[in-house]
Amino acid sequence: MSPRAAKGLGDASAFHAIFFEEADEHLAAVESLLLRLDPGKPDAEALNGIFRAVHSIKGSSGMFAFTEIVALTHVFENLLDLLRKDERALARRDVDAMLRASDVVKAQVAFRRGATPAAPDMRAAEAELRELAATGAGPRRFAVRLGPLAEPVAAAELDTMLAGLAGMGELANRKIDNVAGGEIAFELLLAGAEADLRSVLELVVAASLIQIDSSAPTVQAPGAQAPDAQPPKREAPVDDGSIELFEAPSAYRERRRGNRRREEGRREVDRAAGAAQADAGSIRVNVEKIDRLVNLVGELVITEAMLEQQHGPLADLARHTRNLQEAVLAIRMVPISAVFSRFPRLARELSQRLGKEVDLTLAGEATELDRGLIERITDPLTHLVRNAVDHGLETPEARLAAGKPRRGTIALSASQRGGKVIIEVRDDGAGLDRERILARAAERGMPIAADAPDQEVWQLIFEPGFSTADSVTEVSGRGVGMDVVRRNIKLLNGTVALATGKGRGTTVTVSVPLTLAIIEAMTVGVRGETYVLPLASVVESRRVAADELRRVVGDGCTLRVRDEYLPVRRLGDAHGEIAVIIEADGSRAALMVDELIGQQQVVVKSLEGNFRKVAGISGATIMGDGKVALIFDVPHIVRENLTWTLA
Amino acid sequence: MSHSILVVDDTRSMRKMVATILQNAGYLVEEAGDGAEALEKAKVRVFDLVVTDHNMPRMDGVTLVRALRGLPEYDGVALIVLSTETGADLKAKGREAGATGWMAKPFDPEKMLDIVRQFVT
Repeated sequence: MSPRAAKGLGDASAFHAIFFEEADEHLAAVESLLLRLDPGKPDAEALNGIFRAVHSIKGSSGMFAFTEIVALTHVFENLLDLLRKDERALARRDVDAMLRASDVVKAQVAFRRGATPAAPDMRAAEAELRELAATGAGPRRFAVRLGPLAEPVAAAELDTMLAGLAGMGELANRKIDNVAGGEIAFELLLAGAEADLRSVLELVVAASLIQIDSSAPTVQAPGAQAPDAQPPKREAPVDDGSIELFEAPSAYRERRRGNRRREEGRREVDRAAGAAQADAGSIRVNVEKIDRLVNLVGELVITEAMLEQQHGPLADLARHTRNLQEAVLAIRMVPISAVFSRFPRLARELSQRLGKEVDLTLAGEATELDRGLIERITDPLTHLVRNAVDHGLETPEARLAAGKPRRGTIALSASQRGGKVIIEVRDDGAGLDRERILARAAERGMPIAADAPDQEVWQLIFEPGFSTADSVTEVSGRGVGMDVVRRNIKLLNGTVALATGKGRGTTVTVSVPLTLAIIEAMTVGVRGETYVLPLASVVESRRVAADELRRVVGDGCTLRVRDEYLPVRRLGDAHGEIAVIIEADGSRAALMVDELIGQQQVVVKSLEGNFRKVAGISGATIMGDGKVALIFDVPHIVRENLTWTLA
Repeated sequence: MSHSILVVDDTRSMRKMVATILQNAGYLVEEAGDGAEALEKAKVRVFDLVVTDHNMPRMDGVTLVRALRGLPEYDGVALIVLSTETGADLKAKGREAGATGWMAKPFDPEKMLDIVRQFVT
């Protein structure tokens, strides 16, 4: 449907009421800002605020053809422009004149509204502002450089020019090197416009050779008059509505037609976004307010747990609290289309650059994720899509030769399963090449058996610095590899899995929790203190006898679990009889604790935000008894021993 | 499906006026009070055209244009600046930032619709 031509605005007076109300608000703001202005040390932000308000009134007045208001606000604006650009020092009389002018505008608005019978006389206020703006800049110091000269300037001409300039202002610091390739430089203290100075200089040298720097204005000499000074060039009060197009509509449409594929992707996004917005009763809320709400509910959950400890089970309270918590967390959920929407274009551009042909399909865009997660999952997903286009898909020729359709397909999908969101990036490209990966591993000295199971071989591509791309293309292979993807996803308590078959494409499956605010946790006790381990990183736990621990070089210990020797981690000199086997980044370690307390959901609070960053600790939570429990940073603990000891 | 247009202006009366002109012509119009708000709205939903004021608090029009051009979805979307400021330097900045056109305020509603129709078809 093509929109029908409308009779423009129809009845412009329908907007008058809005304008009057708005003008009153602006004028009130102008007045209070003016009254607070300190001549001598005016606040730049305040001047800008006044300028914007006056500018707004002028713009709207123009549309309503309130020409008197336009004329007055125009000169008002000119004066403000000089002041905010520091081309005129603010004086008490400027403030007074502007206050008077704003009163007159107010009276004019009242008259237009029909609140007063007679139109105020605006001429006096306008003349006063104009006068102030015209006497604008005091003398300024201009640093002038002419050159490099193509040929010397005739001596007589140069003398005439310098004499002329000396008559206009005060000439100083002359450096005259009047030869071919030389430069004529001097400073001039001048109460006048740069344009005037320039026009004098242009009589002698070409405009392109003239460089003028003007310093901050010097204090205005008493009684200094600069009749030639002009306010900075501004638009005429009433323009003819001229329009300048930087791109011809025909060229623009041509370009858009070329982008039809992208358009289709865009509509998908539109639809998804539209669906998300479809509920007419939606409101915009500042994210900080919601975060605060989430925090408060977190506190409530803790209070509820404390009450239960003191009074026994409170089933209704527990249920209501849980429901409230879920409802509040749901507010922060946004559809994953917010991330997916960028991929159609990305895939199109990449494939063009790489000479490949790609169809990108999206599914499950309405799947919702915590807002904080959306932001942090964008980069890893972008990398996966890049990889799929760059390394996954073959060229059209190679595909045809392999008996596949010319165009490759990349399918992005999202779905929710239990408390997790599963995102898949699937391509129908060449798949991972087992032999090449093994060869590359050998090259890089990575230990892997030639007959290792597929899954172990695929894990190699998640190792830092691993890439099998034959040529380091502009697109991927620039250092940021799958290792970064995996690390980023792990940071979100998520996992990355990979399935592939030679010639049958690759599917990368990313699984992340719905929210970062709550984790399923195991609580453990060490020397009477409670600590929290994310349940996702706990493999198993078992009681160990002291003689099962083997001392190794240095002061480290290992524990043999089935056929594997695991590094033993302790909190300082705490002994511990129970080993909790934890896993991160594919490595395991045994963490020694005194007791296993239980499993529960905990609300994660930032330690950095409330205290400071501590190595080995990723956050804190408040337990049912009101005590703070620290949450272990499992990847850190698996990687290295804890360096702090218990107090 | 009607085309959607984002109208950005910190001056309420001006914004309402532009919005009404476009609505009367059959377009779906969303409004934003400054560049920053516009950018947020534009990230949620891809509009078919954006008309923006320049001089606004928080984020001005040219900065908004530059930010929108940084979003892949806005590659082919016409971005028109509507401003009382018509200095050549500022226009050049707008052009460099990726604006499609520059229209002076006050403007002729018919002319505005003319331009909009050429870009949104």
